[in-house]
Amino acid sequence: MSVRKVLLSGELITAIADPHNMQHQQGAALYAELLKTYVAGTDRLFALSTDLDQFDKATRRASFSALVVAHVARQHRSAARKVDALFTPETALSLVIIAAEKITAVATLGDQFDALDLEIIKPLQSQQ
Amino acid sequence: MPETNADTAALAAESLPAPARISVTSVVPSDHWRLVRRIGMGLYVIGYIWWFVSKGLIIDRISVAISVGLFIAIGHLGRPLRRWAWLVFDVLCYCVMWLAYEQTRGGADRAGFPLQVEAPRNIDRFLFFGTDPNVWMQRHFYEAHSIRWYDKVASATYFSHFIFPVIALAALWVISHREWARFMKRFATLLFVACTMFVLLPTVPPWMAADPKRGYNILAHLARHTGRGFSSMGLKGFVNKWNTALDWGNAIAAMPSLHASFALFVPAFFLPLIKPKWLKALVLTFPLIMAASLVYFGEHYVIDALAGWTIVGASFLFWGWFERRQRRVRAARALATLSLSLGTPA
Repeated sequence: MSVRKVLLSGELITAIADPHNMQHQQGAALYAELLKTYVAGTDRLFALSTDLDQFDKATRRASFSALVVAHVARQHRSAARKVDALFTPETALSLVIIAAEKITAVATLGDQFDALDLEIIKPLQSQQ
Repeated sequence: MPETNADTAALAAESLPAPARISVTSVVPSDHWRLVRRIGMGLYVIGYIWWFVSKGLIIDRISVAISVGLFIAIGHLGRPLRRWAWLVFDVLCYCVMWLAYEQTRGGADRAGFPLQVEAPRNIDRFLFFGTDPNVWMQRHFYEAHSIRWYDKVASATYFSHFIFPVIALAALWVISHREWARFMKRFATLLFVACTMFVLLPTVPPWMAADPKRGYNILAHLARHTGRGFSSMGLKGFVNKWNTALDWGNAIAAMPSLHASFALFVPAFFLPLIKPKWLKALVLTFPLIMAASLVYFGEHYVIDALAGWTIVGASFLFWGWFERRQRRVRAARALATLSLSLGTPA
């Protein structure tokens, strides 16, 4: 059985964790769907360590223990600086990790990955 | 799964197809270390083959550990420091596991549990309607003065025990730490159960039971010709003495057969990655060939191999169940937290 590797974008992580975030409901619903495929063993969910480091241990354990932490090292940051200026530094860092971990899908609420040959997982457009 | 409110009830993950878009690899600068690692590994493989042909198959555990360590170090060139830290921790765990294994094999002698001499032979006789499979195979296939093709196949299969699990471990170590951890959990469980059985059930192997010098005399004469086919192909084993006391091999650690266990373990771990059914079936013939070889050489009874396979199956079932449970628990915890924030019941 091949397992799909899905990166949860930084903005999705923030939206999931913050109930006051404008996109919390969409983010939470999308995460709930991803958790179904995680339990089924068809998806492996990733998040950048830089996106998770903003939360305390209890929050990480409660909300994000299903995620594999992709640790961002100095060499990843260095590579991200060389990525095309078309992308923001955060997106560039995500791309470096995507390449390093051979991730094929990104779950996100925004459009920063739309130009790339990745499978983009978003909440249904009609509900956004 | 939690129910969300009316506005979000219909929300679902929508997977958008990827039309012609920019490739990630064209955007991200290439990792120059990857080429260095590939060249290093290529040189390593050439060196390993040269050593195998000229000096022999590396068998003793310290030499194996050094050769694997070298391969893994090459595979980690240019990796982040955190990966190296994991590697050091993994290597320590690995060494502790093998030392515990070796100690237990030696300790089985001192524990004083009754030696199983006739029981495994009797079980084999029961399974094969009164026939001793070891004796039957040697009577029908063994020729003292000539080495047949199946002697070579059986011997090569027997010695593959010293290569395949190590290659699998080393490759996983380099490719994916997560998969390595999955492999090791199952592998360590197998070794733990096997070591416990070596202590509780010290068992005389068939070649020893048939050896007149040992005085058991419960089987007809068996030739112990394990290395014959291997050496007839111009191959040999490489064992360095290392001037250490690491040779605690225990001749009465026959139940379960680790040769049979490992021969099933490695294919079983990688089986989900193999798509064609015919290839799956072909891969699964390997443990059968190994078991037949062990019985033919008089190294093990059939029941030893069956016991080894049973432990492998139990280890895979246990860890499969545990990992599924872990996923369910983690997901349930996250969903409970989400339900709280959304104000909906979990």
